[in-house]
Amino acid sequence: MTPNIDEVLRLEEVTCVRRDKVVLDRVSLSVRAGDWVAIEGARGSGKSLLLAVAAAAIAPRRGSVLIGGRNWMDLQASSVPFVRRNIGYLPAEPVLIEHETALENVVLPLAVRGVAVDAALARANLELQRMGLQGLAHEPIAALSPSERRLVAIARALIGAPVVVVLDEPAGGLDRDDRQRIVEAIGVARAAGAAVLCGSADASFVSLLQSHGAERLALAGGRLNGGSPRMVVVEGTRNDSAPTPIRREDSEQILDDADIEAVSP
Amino acid sequence: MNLAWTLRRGRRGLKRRLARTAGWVGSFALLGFLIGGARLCAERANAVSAHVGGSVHVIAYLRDDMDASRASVLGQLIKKVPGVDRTEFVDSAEALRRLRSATTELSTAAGLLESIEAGFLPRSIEITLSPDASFNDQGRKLADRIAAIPGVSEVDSMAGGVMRLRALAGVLRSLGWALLGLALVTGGVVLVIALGRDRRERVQRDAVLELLGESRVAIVGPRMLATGAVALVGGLVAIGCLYLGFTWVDATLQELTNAVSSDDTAGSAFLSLNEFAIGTVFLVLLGLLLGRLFSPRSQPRHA
Repeated sequence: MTPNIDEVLRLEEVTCVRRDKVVLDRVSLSVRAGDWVAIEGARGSGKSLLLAVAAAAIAPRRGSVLIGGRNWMDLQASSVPFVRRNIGYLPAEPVLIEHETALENVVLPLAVRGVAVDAALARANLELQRMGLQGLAHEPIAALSPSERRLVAIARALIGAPVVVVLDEPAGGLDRDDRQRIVEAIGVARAAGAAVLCGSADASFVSLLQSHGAERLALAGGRLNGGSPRMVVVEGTRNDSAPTPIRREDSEQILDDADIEAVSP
Repeated sequence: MNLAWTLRRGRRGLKRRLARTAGWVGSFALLGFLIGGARLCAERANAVSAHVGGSVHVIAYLRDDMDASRASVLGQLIKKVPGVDRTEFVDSAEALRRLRSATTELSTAAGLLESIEAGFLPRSIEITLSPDASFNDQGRKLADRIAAIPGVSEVDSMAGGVMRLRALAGVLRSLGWALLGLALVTGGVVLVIALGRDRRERVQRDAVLELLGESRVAIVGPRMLATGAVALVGGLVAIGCLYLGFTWVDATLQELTNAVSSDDTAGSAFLSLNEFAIGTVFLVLLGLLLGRLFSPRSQPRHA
C-alpha cells in the first residue's frame, strides 16, 4: 500500500487474538479524510475490536495502525494521548462520567484540548442540540436513560471536528428519529473533514448509512470484504506476505515475553 | 486540560461533593490533631518531670532558737546526704516576701498580711533532691532523718504534691503514646476507606479522560494537588483545635504545679515554628501521596 497524503487512518495487516482464537486476521484498511465507512458484522465477528484498534484504544497483536501517517504503537507512551485527541471514539459500551452532567461529559474532549471554556461550552450545547438533548444538558448522566446516554456519548465523539470518528454500534437501542439525527450529525462531521468509521450488527442501520453515502464493508471470519479497492487491501497485494514482525522494544509495553516469543520470526 | 479547565472542574467537583470534602478535611484534621496531641503530651510530660526534678521536695522548718550560723552548718550537712541535690536557707523576711508575692494575686487576701511582722514566719531549709532520685521514698526517709536533728521543728516532705505531678507526667506520657497509636490506626483506616470508597468513580473518570487523550500527568496532578490542599486545610484545623485544647491543658497543669511550688512551670510554647512546619509539610506530603495512590495506573490493553 502506498501511503497517501489524504490518508488519515491506515491499518496494515492487523491481527488480533482473543482466547487463542484469531479474531482479526491480517486486516488492512485505508481511510482518507471525508471517507465514511460502515462496517457490518455479526455479534462476535471482531467488529468492536477492529474499531477499538482503529481508535488507538487497543494495540493489536500484530500489524500497524497509522494515524496521520504514524504508527501509534511506535510512539512513546507519553505521546499516545496526543494521538487520541484527534479521534472521536464511541465504544460499544459507552463510558461516561456518571456524576457529571451531560454538558460536562460532552465538553470534555474540548477541555482536554484546552479550548477556551465559553467557546467549548457553546459547542457542546450545539452538539447536544443536534442530538435532541438540549433539555437534558444539565442533568447528571446517572439520571439519563440508556438511549440518552448513548446519544450523549455520540455527541462527545463528534464534538470538535476530530480527524477520525470511530463509532461502535451508535444506533444500539435508538429509535428511528434518533438514528436519523445521528446520520445527520455524522454528515456534519464529514463535512468538516472527518473520516468516519461506523460499526454495526444492524443491517438496516448499515443500509441507512449506505444510503447517505457510506462505503459498506463486511467483517466475517476475521477478514474485511467489500468496499472500494482503495480502502480494503486483500491478502497478497503486499510484496511481503509474511506477518509484520514486532520489534521487541515497541512490543514490550503491550505484550508479555511469551507473546513476543510466539510471534517472533 | 489547561489551568482554566482544571480550576473550573475542581470548583464544580468541590460544590458537588462538599460533604465528602468536609469529611476528608476532618480526617486529616483528626490525624493532625492526634499526632500534634501526642507531641504536645510528650513535651508537657517532660516539662512536668523537669519541674518535679527541679522543685523543692523537702522543707525543714527550724526552731526559733537556731541561729543563722548553725542553720548554715545544718544546710551544709544536709547537702552531703546522698540523693540531695541542693539546699537553700530561707529566713523569716524572705519567707514573708514570698508569701506576700504569692498572695498579691489574690486581692482579697493581700490586706491580711500587712500586719504580720518579719519574724513571725519560721525560718526553713529548702531541699531539692537529685533528678534521678526516687522522690517519694527518698523524700520520706530524708524527712525522717532531718526531723531527728536538734534545732529542726518540723519537716514537710511534700510527697502529696510531688506524687500528683509525677502521676500527671505519667498520664501525659501514656496519653501521648495512645494518641500516637491512635493516629497511626486512624491514618491507616482513612487510607483504606479513601482507597476503597471512591475507587469505581475514579477509575471511571480516569478511563474516560484517557480515552479522550488526557495525559497521565494531567489526570494525576490535579488530584494530588487537591488532596494536598485538603490535607493542608485539615492540618490548619488540627492546629486550631490543638491550640484551644492545650490552652486548657496548660491551665490545669499550671494549677497543679503551683500546688507544689510557686515556680512558674511548664509554661512551654505551644508548637515551635519548626514543629509547625514539619507537621504541615508531613500532612501535605501525605495528601499528595494519597492523591497519587488514588489514581490507579491503567494497564495497556492489547489483543
